[in-house]
Amino acid sequence: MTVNKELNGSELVVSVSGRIDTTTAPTLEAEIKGSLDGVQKLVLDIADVEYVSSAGLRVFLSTHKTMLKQGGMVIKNVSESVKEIFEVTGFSDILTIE
Amino acid sequence: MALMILKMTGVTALYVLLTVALWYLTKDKKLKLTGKVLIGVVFGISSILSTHYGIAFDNMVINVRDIGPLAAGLFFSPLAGIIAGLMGGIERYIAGTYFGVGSYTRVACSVSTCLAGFVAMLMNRKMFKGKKPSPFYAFFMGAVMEVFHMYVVFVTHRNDMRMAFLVVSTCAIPMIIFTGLGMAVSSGLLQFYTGEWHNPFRKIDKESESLSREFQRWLFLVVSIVILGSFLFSFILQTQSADQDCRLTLTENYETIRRNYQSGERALRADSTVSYCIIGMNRQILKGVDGGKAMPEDEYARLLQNLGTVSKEEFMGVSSMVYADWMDVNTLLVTSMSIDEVYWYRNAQAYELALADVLLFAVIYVLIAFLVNQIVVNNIRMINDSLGKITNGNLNEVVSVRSSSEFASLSDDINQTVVALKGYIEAAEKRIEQELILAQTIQASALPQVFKFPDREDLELFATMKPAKEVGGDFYDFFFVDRDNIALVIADVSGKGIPAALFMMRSKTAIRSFAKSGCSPEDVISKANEALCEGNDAEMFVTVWIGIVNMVTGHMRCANAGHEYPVIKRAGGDYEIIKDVHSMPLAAFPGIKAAPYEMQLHNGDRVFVYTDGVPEAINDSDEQYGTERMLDTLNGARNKSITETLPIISESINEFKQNADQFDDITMLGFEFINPKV
Repeated sequence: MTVNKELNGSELVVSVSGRIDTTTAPTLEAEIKGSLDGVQKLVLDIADVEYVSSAGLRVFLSTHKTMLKQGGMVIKNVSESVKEIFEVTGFSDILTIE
Repeated sequence: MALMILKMTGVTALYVLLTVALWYLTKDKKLKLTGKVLIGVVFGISSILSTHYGIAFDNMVINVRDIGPLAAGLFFSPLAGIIAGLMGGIERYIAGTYFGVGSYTRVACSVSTCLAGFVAMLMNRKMFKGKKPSPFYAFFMGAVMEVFHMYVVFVTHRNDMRMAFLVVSTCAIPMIIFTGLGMAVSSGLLQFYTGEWHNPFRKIDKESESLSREFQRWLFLVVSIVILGSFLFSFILQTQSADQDCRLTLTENYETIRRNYQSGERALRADSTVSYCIIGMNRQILKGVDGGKAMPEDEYARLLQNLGTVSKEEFMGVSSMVYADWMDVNTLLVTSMSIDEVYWYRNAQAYELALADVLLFAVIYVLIAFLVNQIVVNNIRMINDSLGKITNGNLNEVVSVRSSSEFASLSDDINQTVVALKGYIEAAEKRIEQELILAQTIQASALPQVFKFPDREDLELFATMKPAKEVGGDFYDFFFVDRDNIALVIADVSGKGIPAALFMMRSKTAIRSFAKSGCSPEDVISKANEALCEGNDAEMFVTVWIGIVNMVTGHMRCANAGHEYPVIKRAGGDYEIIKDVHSMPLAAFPGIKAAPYEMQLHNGDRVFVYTDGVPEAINDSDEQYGTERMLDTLNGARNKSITETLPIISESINEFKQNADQFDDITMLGFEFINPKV
């Protein structure tokens, strides 16, 4: 998994690629949590993510909760397989997916 | 003199310019063989030019030819240095032998120029390891090369020391200084351009000072003192011996001349180095130097004061050692030797010795510095490399620098420390492992293990849970909420390991207690959600599927909180995925409203639920097991009992994933409804 971050003013774009599973989720969480200060809009670009495990969902959930207080979070370019994971787990109801 | 300095500065500046310009042109390129040869040729030509455009100084011709090979070899490539040196040196010999250009010093010049290329190669390879030398070392190299040059002049003219001395005493200082300066300025400029420059006089704190630098500084000091001492000692000795010789020569000549004069000999003769005169009444010079003239009054007065001893005074306007005494009452005989003459041999010796000492100094300095680097610094570096590996977690690294007792004992100490450390880590690992095994036992025993209900014939049930780590976050559960209703639960906590296992125990307890209190599946979901949302600081969540089957009617009420789709097999049909309605997982957000649904089970209908560890198991090439493969396997075993089917799935996953690690918990629960009335 690789994570790229780009900050434009108060908007942070995080591009992730690879698998977000138990081994990589802690890294993703640390990367995102460490750069949320003052961010009002978080965009998660997961175009190149092919799989999200429950540990990865946990990162999305807790980031979503944090961002609810600061502004909002948007998930972009969700692949079909990941969209299915979001739907099966009911996450598509609460996350803003574009 | 001033003109010479100006011209030498100009020529040296041209060299510096050439070096910097060539470097600028080639700085971004990796030098290939032709490039190296070309640079060698350019510097060789510059060497030749500086031979032919030498600068006249005191009837000698001086130049800075040796900068060519040194600069080529040190700043560009060893090969370029050798080519430039050979070109400059061989051409110098030919010019000296056949064209009469400075033929006296041709051997010394050509040998030193040829050698300069090789010296530059050695220093580049062994001392500076391809880096640019600091201006200090560059000066040192240029100067020592010229010292060698001068020394060879002496060595090749052993029979003609006077001329050799004249050449060396005129040329040595300007050539040494300008060659040194040319090298120093070139290296300074290059370092400045490459950003390697740092102020050599800046104070460096002890921590960033390298061992070899510190050592080299002390070595420089000590060797300088020793060599200066030995030089002074021999200089004093030579002075005394020159004084002694002079005294002896003057008195001997005095005696010879007096004897000859008194025996009436007309042709009086003194040694070639000695001049004499016989002075009669009224300071009239009767014989010898300036015969016929009168001796200056002040010189005569001083002569009379120092009769019978050799003393240093002005004699006929020349600073000399003088011996004078009366031959008879009226005539005074004076023998004298000019100071230059007295000390020329000592001076020549001093020059030669000084040059030899500087060479010796350079060789000792370079050799010791090199050896220290080899013996101490390199070993320390090897130990540091090993320590780096150990710090990065490779505890199997063994430090084996055994080239001296100190290093051997240091290596042993480090190795022992690592072994002890390894022991502690292993002990700690063992303890954690034991605790994990205990936790695994506790978790396993928390899941129901008995799948047979002794008084019931109306169902068959089987479940397995295989955690990816010692303990997992998945669980299954089944229990009768009352006499007729059985609850089936499968759940998956986000994450794995101890945190997931702890949260799993909380979830399992909450779900079981709400279900047993008679709640409907949707109420179990929402109530358990509220309970689990409280104090969920780790922001974990759990996906749950729960089904409550009425064993009398076969009516099943279900709710799915973010869990995998269940699989149903109707009696006689295939296993099929039911895309049921979903809500969010438990503990994600407070206030979840579950979406319940219902289903009618008939005799022989089966329910198969699982966690994502099944479809998402991966093999060596990162392919997922997938629900399709799961369904195929299930259908392949559709005639087996549910108790037999689950192990078949496990086996199929194992076969699929080959050597890949199991990275998520794998949990399954199968249930078959049997209507005893049928």
